[in-house]
Amino acid sequence: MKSRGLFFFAMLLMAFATNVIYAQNTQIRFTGTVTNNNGEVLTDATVVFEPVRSPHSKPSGQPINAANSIGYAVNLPDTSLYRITVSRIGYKNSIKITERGRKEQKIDFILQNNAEINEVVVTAAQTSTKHESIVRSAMEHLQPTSIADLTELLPGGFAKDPNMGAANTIAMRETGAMNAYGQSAANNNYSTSALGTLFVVDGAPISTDANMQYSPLSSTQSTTTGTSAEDSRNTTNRGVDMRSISTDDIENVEVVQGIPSAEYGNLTSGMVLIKKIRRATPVIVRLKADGYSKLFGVGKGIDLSKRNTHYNSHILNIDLGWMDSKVDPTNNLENYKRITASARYTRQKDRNKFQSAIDYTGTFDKSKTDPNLNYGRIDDYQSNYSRLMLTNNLHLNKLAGWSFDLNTSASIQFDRLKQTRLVAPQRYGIVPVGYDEGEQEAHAVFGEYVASYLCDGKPFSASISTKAKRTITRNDNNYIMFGTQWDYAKNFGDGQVYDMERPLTLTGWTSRPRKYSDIPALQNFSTYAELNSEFPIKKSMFRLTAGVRLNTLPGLNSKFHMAGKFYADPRINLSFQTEEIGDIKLIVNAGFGLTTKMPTLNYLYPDKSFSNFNSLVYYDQENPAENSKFVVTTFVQDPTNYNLKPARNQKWELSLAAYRRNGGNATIKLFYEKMNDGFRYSNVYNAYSYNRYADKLMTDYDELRTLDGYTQVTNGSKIIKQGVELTLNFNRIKVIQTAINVTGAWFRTQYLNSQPMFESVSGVIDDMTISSQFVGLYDWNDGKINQRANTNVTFDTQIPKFSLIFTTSVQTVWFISTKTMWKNGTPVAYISAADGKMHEFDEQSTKNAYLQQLVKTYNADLFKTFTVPMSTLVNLKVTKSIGKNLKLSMFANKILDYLPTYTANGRIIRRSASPYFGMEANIYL
Amino acid sequence: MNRIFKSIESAGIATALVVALLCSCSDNEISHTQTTVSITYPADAEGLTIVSEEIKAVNLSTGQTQILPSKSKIDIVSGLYDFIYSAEVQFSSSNGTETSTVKGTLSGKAENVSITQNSCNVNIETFLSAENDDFIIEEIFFTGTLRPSGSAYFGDGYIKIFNNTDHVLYADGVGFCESKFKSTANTEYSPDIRKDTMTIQSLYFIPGSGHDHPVLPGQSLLLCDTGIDHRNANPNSFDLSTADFEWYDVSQNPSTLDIDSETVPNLDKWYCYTESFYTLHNRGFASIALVRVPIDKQTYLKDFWYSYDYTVYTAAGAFPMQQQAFKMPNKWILDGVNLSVEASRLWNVLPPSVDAGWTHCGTTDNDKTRFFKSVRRKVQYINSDGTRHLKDTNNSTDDFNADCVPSVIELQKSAIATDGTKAGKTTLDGITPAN
Repeated sequence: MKSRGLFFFAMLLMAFATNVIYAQNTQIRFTGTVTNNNGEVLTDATVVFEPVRSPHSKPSGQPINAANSIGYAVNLPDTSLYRITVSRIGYKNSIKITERGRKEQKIDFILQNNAEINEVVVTAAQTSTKHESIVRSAMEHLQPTSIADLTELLPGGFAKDPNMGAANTIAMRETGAMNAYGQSAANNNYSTSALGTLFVVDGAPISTDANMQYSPLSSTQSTTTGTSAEDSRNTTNRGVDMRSISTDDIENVEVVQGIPSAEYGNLTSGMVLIKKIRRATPVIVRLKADGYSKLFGVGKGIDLSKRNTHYNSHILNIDLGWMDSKVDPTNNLENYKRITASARYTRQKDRNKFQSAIDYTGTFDKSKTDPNLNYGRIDDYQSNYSRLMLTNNLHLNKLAGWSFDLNTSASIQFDRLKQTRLVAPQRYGIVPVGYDEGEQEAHAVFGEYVASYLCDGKPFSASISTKAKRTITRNDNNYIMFGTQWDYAKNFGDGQVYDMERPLTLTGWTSRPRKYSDIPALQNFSTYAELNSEFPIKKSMFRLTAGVRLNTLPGLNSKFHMAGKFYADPRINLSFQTEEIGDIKLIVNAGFGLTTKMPTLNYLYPDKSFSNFNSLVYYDQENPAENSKFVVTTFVQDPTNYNLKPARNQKWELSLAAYRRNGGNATIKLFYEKMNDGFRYSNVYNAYSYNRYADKLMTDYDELRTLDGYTQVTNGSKIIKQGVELTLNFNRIKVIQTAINVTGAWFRTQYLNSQPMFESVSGVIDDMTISSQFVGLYDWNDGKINQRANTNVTFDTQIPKFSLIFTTSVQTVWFISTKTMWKNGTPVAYISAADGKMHEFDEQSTKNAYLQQLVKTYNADLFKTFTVPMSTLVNLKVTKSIGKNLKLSMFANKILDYLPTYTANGRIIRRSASPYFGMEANIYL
Repeated sequence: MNRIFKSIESAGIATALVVALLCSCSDNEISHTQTTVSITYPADAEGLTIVSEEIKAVNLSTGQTQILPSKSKIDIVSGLYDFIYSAEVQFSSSNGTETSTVKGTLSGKAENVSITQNSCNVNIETFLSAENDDFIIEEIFFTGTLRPSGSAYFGDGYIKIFNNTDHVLYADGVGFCESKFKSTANTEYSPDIRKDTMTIQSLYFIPGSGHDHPVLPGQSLLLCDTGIDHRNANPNSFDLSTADFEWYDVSQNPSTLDIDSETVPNLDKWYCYTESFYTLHNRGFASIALVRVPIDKQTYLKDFWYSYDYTVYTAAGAFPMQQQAFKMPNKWILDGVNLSVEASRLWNVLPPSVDAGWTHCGTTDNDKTRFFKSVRRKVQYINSDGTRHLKDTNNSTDDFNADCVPSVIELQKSAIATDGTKAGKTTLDGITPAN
């Protein structure tokens, strides 16, 4: 696959190299910017040059597209005048005619918003057929607490009450894992989907690869996912916690769910590109309060040169933010706080740009149990996250025909997870304390103790990326791009720190303190090449983006299968834009791409697992504390999976979009994604033998054989995402000043295992623990097929006279369904402690009193689809500007609801919704 | 509203007519008295049918025993007598919804009755017992104790079994088991085998070859979780190092560590659902039964494993489930006791043929007042040798005292509360004072 991808790419390059022909006549250099009313640069505008004989004659000859990222630049022969038509989705076309004679012509365009002057974009806009873009004005109207709230604006998204007591991970184009009742439920087995979503802030990726903030009590290295205070907040191997990203200093967010450019890698699902505000602004103060949180933000863009133009600016942006939230407004014991600070410097001169930023994010999670309700029990969890990030970006334009980008970033986190628990042995407990294999005396615990646990993580990450880009024809949209990216992740923390004699629990402690700074660093290196090309065919346009990205892990120990290997991600997008049919332009887009996510530090270097067996349990009746003796035989298992491979996602996409000349558009997208090798922890069983001593003198003994399990990360998860996304934007209806926007999606997501699974059964028969002797291997689908269809219809009413924006969003979930895959509970094989080998599970086995226990049986009704029928909620949002300096916003979610009662398995299920309110003020000083 | 337990209505007092007859006296040297015996039948016996009955009169001076031919106007020699009544009966055992007919005995005694010319009326108060010629459950201490800090302590649970017969019983081969079904959830299982089968989650047996463990009438055996002095770990607990048997769970891993007492022999473990050390359901939702299994262990383990379907009902909907468990035919059950709590009880796990009632410690789920409490079988009367005869009418609501101070705690005067308050008085059954 890898070499084929490269070959394909090389062929494409050759094909287009022949097209690079420069006319060497007298040339005129045309340049210009395309901006909107607010002076914001409009990317993705179409700029078409057509030769004309005179300013008023009809164009003749071949149109030339000259757009680039900020406007256009093109050299054209001085043989005629040109008519420049600038168009962009959402804006009115603008036409200008060039002058005769001048060698350098700079003609800037300011486009008017489509329907109304001063219209504010409050919904997600489709900047192209590839991306969804959420701009500042939409954020202001939405009144988010964190970036997590913005996902409501994407097709398939809907408003949710904030959940500040759990990590908010992203789910792209999927239903998310669900419990049996169709409610979303975290499942670490399928977290690759969130882990594989890349978040990029001003060119710098947010790396979570070195995050190992967990305790051995958590589900991090488990096959099941718990719901404890820690488990719900733990983001190890789960990607970015969106709660930590404030929206206050964000200019826009682009969400790429389709085929990403080869420029971006180490991802599977897609990416979220965050662009922070980098322009002069007054002091903006944001105050927000809702039922769950209080938020304060202040920011200013300082104009350092006083003479800013788009080509020569000198700006410093400073932002501070604070947010305090409660998981439940009536509960003081669980809360989440966030502090953000950012200073961003932007220097732009002659299209060369230098950006620098220093950002701080601190989040503080706390959860306590109420001692009054809990027998005075102590169980406290506290997780602090502090991240300091330095970013430098340099863009050099037109050096020998090339433009160059150099982005560097470095971040260091100071993360501390603390847990304090009162541990009461159920009777007596013993704690194996050895770090080595063999027989050793265990520490006996006779009474209660307070255990404290610290996980000290100092994940450091650095990223250097370079990019070189060159246009290959007169049309700036025909270009080639090469680049490299090197990412480094290392954890310098003290890791898991605790008193081995006082672990957090006495039941099943198989871990030992571990220094994270001992774990090797993880390096990701990738290089890519991409070709962008467009061929006009009469008035239609054919566009091609083809690229390939090679990913590797340099410096990885050669024992790993991945060591020295390159994984190639070919990506291709083809689109065809028709000429206007009537006043409608159609764009058909088809894409295929492979995306690759390399494992995290925890996946590569998991905690060792300690298997301990009781060799001597001598309890002295007379003087138990002094004379008892407990000896365990310890085996150390290194669960590192040297055969681990990256998680790779195949993405297919087909879309059709229709744009009306004067606004209004419709897009329908079909997608199919398949990942066979998502990461998950799986059970592994080994046979061990140890001595069981009969007495304290340890002379007589029996040699016993037993099985014991640990977990190892495997590529055992399969996620298949398919669905349809729909976006409809209607023109504003003048009479009622209202525009209607419809987004919707149908998602069908399969969460499966791609490898057979070991699963032990509990129970003791005739004094023999079954799982210590026999464990079955089940070749089944331990997964689910989930579906969801929903639509949001937003009525966006804007009355400029009153500076009033009023939106009503009718959010309907048409159905949610979940179906457990049919399971054959009869194992295909079993491992036996006697010989440590696998045996076939046959007819004879079912007649054995012990082996028959391995057969799991299921109620046939378990595999029926569970469907939650439709529900509709209505959300209101109002924004009103008062004078120049004040903007007030208010929202009322779930103000109306339609939640019909339904029956499930013969029971009537009644649903209810409680409204959620909030308001905010933005003050401009 | 079957949840609210209907107390068994009295079938009506079997009134004994007091026939106040005059005595007729004779002129013989040996004076005879015409005596009338009246029987007071138990007030709470429902549907009582007497199959056969017998009244014995034991002349305490001569030692002569005679069986009285009838109840009224019997001519007997004057003197000091014990009158002993016994009857084979049938009665209905009902939990309000289900009823079964159970065999039993009525017995009563009037002691040291002086039959003279002036006094020739005897009244015998009778007590109903279900027919059982084997061990019965005397006490179950399933709640456990609390540490001084208030956290729960495990390992000092116990079950007392009692010889309520008039002859020696051998405990060899007597097992105890705990029901897998809970009285607070899931009342419908498919297949529904509850009428004649108990679905169990643990099964432990007293070892022995048949005559190793004799138990005298009126004596009990103490089967405990861990037979050690628990006060070392929890000052609020007590000493079980002299118990008769313990259920010891061989453990592989420190996480499931159980302690094998040197002084208390182990029960023979046939099956337990958990790999960890086994404790009785400490909120008291499971039923406990004593069994004798007439087949060998291997056959039982191979053939009595079965699957069943049930549905879990939650606010979000109903969810079909399937589980597997061992089953125990009710005919092998010697005695069974249903446990539950008032606020959460939905049904009786054991049918009325085993136990028509239920008993409890605490009244709500997770009731914090339940700790340091046990259920104890009521004393019916005191035998002539001073031992107790316990009440066994097949209805634990009637037969047991709920929320009692456990007998071992009474005996050892150990703590009855988190703060270490010690037990004061000793009782015979949690209520009846010892002296």
